[in-house]
Amino acid sequence: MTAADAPLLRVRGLGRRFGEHDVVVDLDLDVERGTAVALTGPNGSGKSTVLRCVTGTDKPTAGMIELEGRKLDERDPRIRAALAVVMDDIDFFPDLSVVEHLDLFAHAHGVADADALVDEVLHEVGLIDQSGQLPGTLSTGQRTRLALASAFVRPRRLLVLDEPEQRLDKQGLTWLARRLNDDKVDGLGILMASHDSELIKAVADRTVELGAHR
Amino acid sequence: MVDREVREVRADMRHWRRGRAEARFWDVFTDAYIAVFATLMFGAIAINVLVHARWATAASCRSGGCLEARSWLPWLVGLAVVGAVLGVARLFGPANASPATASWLLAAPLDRGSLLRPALVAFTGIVVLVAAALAAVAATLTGFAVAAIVAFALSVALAGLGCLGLALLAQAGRPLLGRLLTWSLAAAVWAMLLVLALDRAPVLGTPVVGAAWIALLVVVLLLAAGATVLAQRRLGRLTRHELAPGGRMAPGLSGALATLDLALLFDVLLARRWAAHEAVRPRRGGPSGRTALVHADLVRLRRSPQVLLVVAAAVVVPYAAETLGLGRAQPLAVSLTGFLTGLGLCTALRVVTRTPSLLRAMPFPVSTTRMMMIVVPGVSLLLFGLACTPTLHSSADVSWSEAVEMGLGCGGAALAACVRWVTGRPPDYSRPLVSTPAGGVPTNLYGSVLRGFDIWAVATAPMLLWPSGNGALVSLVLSWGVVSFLLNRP
Repeated sequence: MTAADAPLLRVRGLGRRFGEHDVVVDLDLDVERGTAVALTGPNGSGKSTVLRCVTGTDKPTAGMIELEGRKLDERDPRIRAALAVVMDDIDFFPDLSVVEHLDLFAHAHGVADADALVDEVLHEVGLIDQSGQLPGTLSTGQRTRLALASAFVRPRRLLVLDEPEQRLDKQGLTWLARRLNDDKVDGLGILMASHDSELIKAVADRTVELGAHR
Repeated sequence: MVDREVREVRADMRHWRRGRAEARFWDVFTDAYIAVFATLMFGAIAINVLVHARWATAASCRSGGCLEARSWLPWLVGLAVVGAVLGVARLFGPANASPATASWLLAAPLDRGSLLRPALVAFTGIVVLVAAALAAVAATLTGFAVAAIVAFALSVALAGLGCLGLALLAQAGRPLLGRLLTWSLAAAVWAMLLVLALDRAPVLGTPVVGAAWIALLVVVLLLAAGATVLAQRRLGRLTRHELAPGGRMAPGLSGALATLDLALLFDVLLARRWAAHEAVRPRRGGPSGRTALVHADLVRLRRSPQVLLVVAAAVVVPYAAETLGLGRAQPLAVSLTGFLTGLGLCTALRVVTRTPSLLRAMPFPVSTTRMMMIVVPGVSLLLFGLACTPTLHSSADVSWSEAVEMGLGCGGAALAACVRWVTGRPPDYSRPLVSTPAGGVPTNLYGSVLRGFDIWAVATAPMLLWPSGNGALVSLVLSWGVVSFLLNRP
């Protein structure tokens, strides 16, 4: 199978064991270009663990993960350039403003018209009035929006989101669903864990229920 | 509610706490005995060491420069201590409320002044005692008479008390007052160091406690009392917004101190500093690719130029230290000053060290991202080292070209020590622990206090053993090796 034929993300036989406790067992998962896959299941079913393994912040005890036919190694700059991640461990520089964070991400990724894209995303996430604020002064909802915005101002081929609905108001959820669907149209793959049935219904092409092995 | 009702609430809380106490009287008694015994024993040792150091200093300090520096020491220390008291007071409030107090007691209809006063009095007592002790140590080492030591310590303590009162006034809506006073004291300390560095300082005689000093003491006492009374009156009118930030740091700071994780302490202070800024003027644009990270550091520097100003101003410290006649040990003074003042420039590297998600978001190898974040601190510290070339030339008795190389070596050693300090990992409790009387302790717990200082000593050592261009080259290679290893760690 060539890289062009391979699914964007291919997970085979993924397992993660903590001591004697199997959190993820023999998981197979594909994310095709232009599609979204939602991981669902109760708390502790392993949704975030799968995402951490996919993004390389946790090491699986079994299985393999490939991105575009290449073994997913998050140390590889090409992988990091393709993979945009918004998880709950995101934090920011305390001395850079909202807009400076987005400028930094866009410029570091070599976006051609970075300032225009940043302005557009700031409008979309509703942080234009907070563009000069430092992250420490933002509400938790605004920090979530900033985290999402940081993924949208940079090039990406796979977007990984861990419960993006958290702390977003209804308006924010509507915007997020629209934005993710636009990304799908542009050929991006999305892998997300969520508890929000409306968001899943609006965005996901396929749902994978975790925790069924217990 | 009035003061009496606040006392009743406190008594109730004390009663509940005592009701849950599990320690027996005998346990408390033996703990107290050990604490008192240890304090007396270590206090006696410290005083003995101090007295011997005074004799040794008097016997060995014969050169003109050393006599100058020694005679200026207490005044320099006194001023620095008063400045530090003001800085610490402003950092913590000085009046503050812990998260629990802010949530439960400040929301209650209690007299806020009565509620806050005991903690403030305790804080004041500790700070004033520490200030007096430091002043007494400096005065003793300089050879003051006993009466002069007491009077000097009292003067510094009272000045510290006055500064605390002013800090409280600044907290109650006059931040400019506190900021101006802090910078004025820092400028005065710097000016004294500059005079010493230029070798223009006259040898000051040991002061005698006379009418003039007593009059000055009375004036300082009256000013301190006035500031304290004025500040106490405003205590009850402080808002939660003004009280909470200082107290909010308490859990983080106590956690950092419990694990001896000084870098975590740095994080807490950094967060506190920037949380006080609601908004800034954004700086847009900049280069693409990896240099965007350097540009972000320059934006930081423009926003907070004082961190660079501190490094630039600290150039006088090695020159002032030269008057003590350090000779071949001068590179130690240069690289140590660079290390301690350069930490403020390394905030970006510190943030990405504790926040892997930020590293993940960059499309470069981890080492490249980290390397870009030491460009600005690295250039600054190398320039700092170069600025110390004349003192290395005269102290270490080397040629100008070798002094330039040693300056770069000192800057490199300072940078390596900074990188080691900010990239330090917290104690790992998941690894096997060492059994101690205080319980299980991670193997790297106590060593973490020395983090940074180890590399400072190792990287500077070649220039001490071999004060020449070759020694500087070995030092630079060592520093580069350390920096490369630390930045390439996964």
